[in-house]
Amino acid sequence: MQPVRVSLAELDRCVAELNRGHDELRCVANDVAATSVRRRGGRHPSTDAAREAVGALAAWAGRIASAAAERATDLRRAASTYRDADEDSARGIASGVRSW
Amino acid sequence: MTSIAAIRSWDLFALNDIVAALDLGAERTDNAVDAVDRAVDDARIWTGAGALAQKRAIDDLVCRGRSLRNITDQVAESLGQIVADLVGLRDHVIRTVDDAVAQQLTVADSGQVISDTADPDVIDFHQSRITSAINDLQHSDEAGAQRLRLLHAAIDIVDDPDSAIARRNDRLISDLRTASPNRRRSVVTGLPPSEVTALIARAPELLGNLDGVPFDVRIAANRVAIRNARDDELDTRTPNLERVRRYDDMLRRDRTFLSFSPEGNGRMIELIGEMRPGIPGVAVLVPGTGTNLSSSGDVSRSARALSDATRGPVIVYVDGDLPQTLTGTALSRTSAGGILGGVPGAVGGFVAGLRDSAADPSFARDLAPRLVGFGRELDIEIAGRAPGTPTTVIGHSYGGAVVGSAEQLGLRADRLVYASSAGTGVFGGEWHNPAANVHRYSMTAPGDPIHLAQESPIPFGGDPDDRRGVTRLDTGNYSDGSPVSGIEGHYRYWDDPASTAFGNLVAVITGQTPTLYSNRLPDLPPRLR
Repeated sequence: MQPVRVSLAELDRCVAELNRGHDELRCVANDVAATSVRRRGGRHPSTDAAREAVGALAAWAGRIASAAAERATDLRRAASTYRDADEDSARGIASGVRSW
Repeated sequence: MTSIAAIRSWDLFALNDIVAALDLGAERTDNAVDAVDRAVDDARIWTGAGALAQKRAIDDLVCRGRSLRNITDQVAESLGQIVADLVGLRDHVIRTVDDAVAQQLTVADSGQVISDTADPDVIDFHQSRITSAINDLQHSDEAGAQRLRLLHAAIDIVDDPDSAIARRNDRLISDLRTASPNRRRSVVTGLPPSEVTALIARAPELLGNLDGVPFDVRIAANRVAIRNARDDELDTRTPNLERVRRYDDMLRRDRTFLSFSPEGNGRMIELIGEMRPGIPGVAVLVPGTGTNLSSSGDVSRSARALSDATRGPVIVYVDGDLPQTLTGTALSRTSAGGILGGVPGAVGGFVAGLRDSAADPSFARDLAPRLVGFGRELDIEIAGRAPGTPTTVIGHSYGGAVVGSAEQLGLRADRLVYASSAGTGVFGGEWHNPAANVHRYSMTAPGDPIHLAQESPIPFGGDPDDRRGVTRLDTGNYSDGSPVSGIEGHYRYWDDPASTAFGNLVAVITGQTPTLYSNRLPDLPPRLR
């Protein structure tokens, strides 16, 4: 059993970085997808293959962004759980002191 | 056949917009993934089972993000090359049509040349040019599309980490680290191209440096690794811009690398030229003291000249650290003063204080076994691409001691040249080159201070010029007629393809007869003996 040690400030920072990563990746997905749909000129094998590959990249970036968002949600939940437990503990001690 | 009107309507420059968006996307992906990676790495005051599970999940996310960046870069680079090729070929089609029209011929939209009055030979000439230009364009277009489809297939593999192929690739990456070169080769060559591309996206730094991985896969992987190293350097607080320029140069389309690592002084094996049937020989050049990733440009230039002169591939081998100083002072290859002051000191003072200098044999000890392994890989590649082509391994200066040490450990090569070599090997004993009919040559200019190092059997094994079974060659003159001699005689002939010494290297590689040694001047002035 691993000892549980946690820095809530560090967890908050991780959440912030993950959110930033998520936003960046979402922008990448949108930008690349937007470029690939601006269809001009005649079709030929290279442009078709490029648009399909770029579409797949955009979708992939979108999925990674979603995964980053999920991780951020998990971390936020973990931070909140630790905080609640800490506050419960503090309340318990305070009520014990009052009952003396 | 594609119509002329359709070809004219291709908006190839719109594809450049996609390349720019992909470049930017790869950079932003890189930054996002780095930020996430750093956040978790830095979160030290967070332990327990929950923390461990979260860290694993985030590591997986980071790994997927890096693969995304790698493939995005590959798509961007491929597309950029495709656009450049297609623009040139389409211009050529349009030029051929315009030329025909200028001759009063009619060119139908199908590309057919029509005229009731023109000379049939003139019509045939223009028809042939137009047809050939359109065919070249279509062929290049289809080949480009094929490359992009391959990358798309790799995206589909890496994008789904739970797929059977992706899970097998994960296991493969772990297995390849410990497998024998033969096993690696059989595994990698047995995979479909899309899976190999997916593997490269997952672990470019690994695949680019493993013996047993076929050369074309190593080359593709190292391109990704070099680009990542360049981006990492730019991301540092104070980027080394000289190194960034070096990476940019290494990413030139005509450069290919069989190994690469930015760690320490940097490692690389560069393949210059192409391995194909009909080449007269393949050469491997192991350079000397002062060579590292940043300074390897000089060596690569000389190797390119050697490749041009031999019309065959030349491989620059710097797959490990070489000493960077002669006696504790950093030098460049053209640091004549350093060489003058260095070698006598290095020979006379082989003491612990000279560790990491050119007097330290540990670099040769470390590099030699790797060179033996690389020699085996090279033989396998030659057997597949240019069967029967002889190999020549050239060791220059400290590189000569590396080559000699590798021969002592069993390096196989048909021909060897100990060029201005520090010695014949640090391990002592005989050479154990298993080639059936080995030809060994040496070449040391009169007055080259390396003669002082050669005179002592310790630590580098002694003088290759005097070794039984070694044919000493003439260093002769530079292209301006002056003799190759003295301190500059140690290195300057590498920059002079018309010099006798350079010509002798070409002759050995191509199987011609080199010029034998002629006693023009004493090896060393009497006062230095």
